[in-house]
Amino acid sequence: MNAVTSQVIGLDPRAFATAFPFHLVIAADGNVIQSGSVLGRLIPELAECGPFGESFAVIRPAIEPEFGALVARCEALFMLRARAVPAMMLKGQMLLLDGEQAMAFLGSPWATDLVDLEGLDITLRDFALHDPIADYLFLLQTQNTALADARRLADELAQLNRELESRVQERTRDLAAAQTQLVEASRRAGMAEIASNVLHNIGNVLNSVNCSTGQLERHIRVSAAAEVARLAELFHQHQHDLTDFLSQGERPRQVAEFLCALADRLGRRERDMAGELAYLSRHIEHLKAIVAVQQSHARGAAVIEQVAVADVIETAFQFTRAGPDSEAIGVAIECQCTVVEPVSMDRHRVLQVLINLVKNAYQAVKFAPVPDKRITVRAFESDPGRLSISVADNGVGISAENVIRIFEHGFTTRPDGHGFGLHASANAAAEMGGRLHCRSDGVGRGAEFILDIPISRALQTAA
Amino acid sequence: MYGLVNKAIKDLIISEFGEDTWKTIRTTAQVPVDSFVSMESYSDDITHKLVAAASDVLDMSTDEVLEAFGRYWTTYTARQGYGHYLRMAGNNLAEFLANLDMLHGRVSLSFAGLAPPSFEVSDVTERGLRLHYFSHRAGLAPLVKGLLEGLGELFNTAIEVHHDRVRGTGNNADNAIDHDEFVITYLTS
Repeated sequence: MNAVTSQVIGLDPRAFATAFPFHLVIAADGNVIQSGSVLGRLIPELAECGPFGESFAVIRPAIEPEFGALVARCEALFMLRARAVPAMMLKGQMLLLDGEQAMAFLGSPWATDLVDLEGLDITLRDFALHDPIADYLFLLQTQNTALADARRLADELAQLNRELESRVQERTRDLAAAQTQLVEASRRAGMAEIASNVLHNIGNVLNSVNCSTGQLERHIRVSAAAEVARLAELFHQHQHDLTDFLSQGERPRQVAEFLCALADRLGRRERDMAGELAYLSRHIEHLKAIVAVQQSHARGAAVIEQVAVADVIETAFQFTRAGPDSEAIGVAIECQCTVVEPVSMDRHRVLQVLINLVKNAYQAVKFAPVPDKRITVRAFESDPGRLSISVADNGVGISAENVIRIFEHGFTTRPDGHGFGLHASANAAAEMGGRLHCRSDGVGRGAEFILDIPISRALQTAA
Repeated sequence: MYGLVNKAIKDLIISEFGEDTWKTIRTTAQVPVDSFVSMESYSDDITHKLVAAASDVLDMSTDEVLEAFGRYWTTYTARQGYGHYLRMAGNNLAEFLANLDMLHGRVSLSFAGLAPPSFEVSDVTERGLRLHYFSHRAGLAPLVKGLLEGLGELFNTAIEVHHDRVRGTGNNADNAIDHDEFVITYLTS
């Protein structure tokens, strides 16, 4: 308080007019007796000192434009509209002057957009420098510009996003095309693998068929017809004295012995040939089975049968029996089967695996420099419901690194091998829900292959 | 310098010389930004690089580029939403120039980080006036010259702008003047 001088300084009319270019002074009789320079310029009729209500409408507060009402609500925020310039809204406050004999309105044009002031003939200079309205409008414009900026950036982003999206779609299409090619390529590879597997198995069987037909051919080539024909010719020459001819000297005994020997030989050959034909039809049966297995592959189903494990093993040896030199190389075969009751399994698949294993074992012992070539097959239930068939030999053996690769497609150590057999056998084991694995103590120390598959006896008849 | 300036340079180059030229200039200037935010403050360096690159690519002097940019600036800002504001700053060229300093003062109020130039008008006669240009940035006088010419077009006033006194010149270092002065003469037909 004491810092301020006792003299009170107010605004003289000239300073007042400069500070408030939009002010009004209303006398107690309701007439506008003074106005700011800019307001006076915008509304020339104010010079006539007419009634306030004729020139202005009070928008806020909701009162009549009468002096008494203005006094009563002089604390309120006032918004006035000039009747002559309806586009202009004045915002401000009322101030009582001269012991309530006059009322001053202090304010300035209000707008929320510069456009609102467009055409009002107001320049920035018309606002008092202390009046922040112009800055407020500038800020508003800046905010609008920033918003427009944000919209533009969002549009640019959306455009980039669209470009990115279409590029992703393009890449996805490329990928899908590549995927299709890949699927096609792997389908072809799969078909090729199946084909080589089938050919391999059929080749095995055809080998046996070939041997059987060779045997039959040999039997037929050494014909007994010539000897029968010689006897018939003799009988023909002596048709008129056949009784005498046959009863002379040793002839009865000789003829009888000859016929007996012939009958014996023919009988033996018939049995041999019947045996070979039986083999042959079994081979053909197996060929049919291979085809059936492929058809069931195509249908995705396996053929489960009730079989005796020992029979399957024996059949596998019968198929490989006629393999090249199998008898000549003198291999001791030992077979131990502890699974006596028939079990349910995919017989033909198991058979294919065993044929491959037995054939490989023959090959292994064939080239091994061991005096007692031996193949041992053991069948046993390794766990309840699991059948293990082990095919072991004391042949050439497998190096440690090859034990790992031996089931790979195309892997072989034999010059005439294709690498299909073990690969297909391992696949077949896996398809049956089992596995095929291999053990060897190394080169020259034999090998053992173990087929391990699930079995069941559920189909066994109770009666 | 705020982004609006860089945006205006980009806009000018694209509208006059095409999108490809802008890309070349931006690459030459090694300016990684392409989308300038109007009210963001950018390093002056970016603007200088863009002007220098435009001068190289368009085979114009830096002063010519700045003058062209100055002429473009008025119509550009008017299009960017500041047209009403510009119109409110004066009803004729003389009134506008008299308000120019206030205009820039108000801009600096709203954007504390920006350092807009300052102007002063003197020697106002019926034939013309003298405009004093103060800036902490050097070398932008040609831009002001172009700006004044652009304003002449905006107010339909034919003028001649003469860069009468150049900052930093003088008889010796002691009395070297600290600002530029332009004499604007109205051309009457």
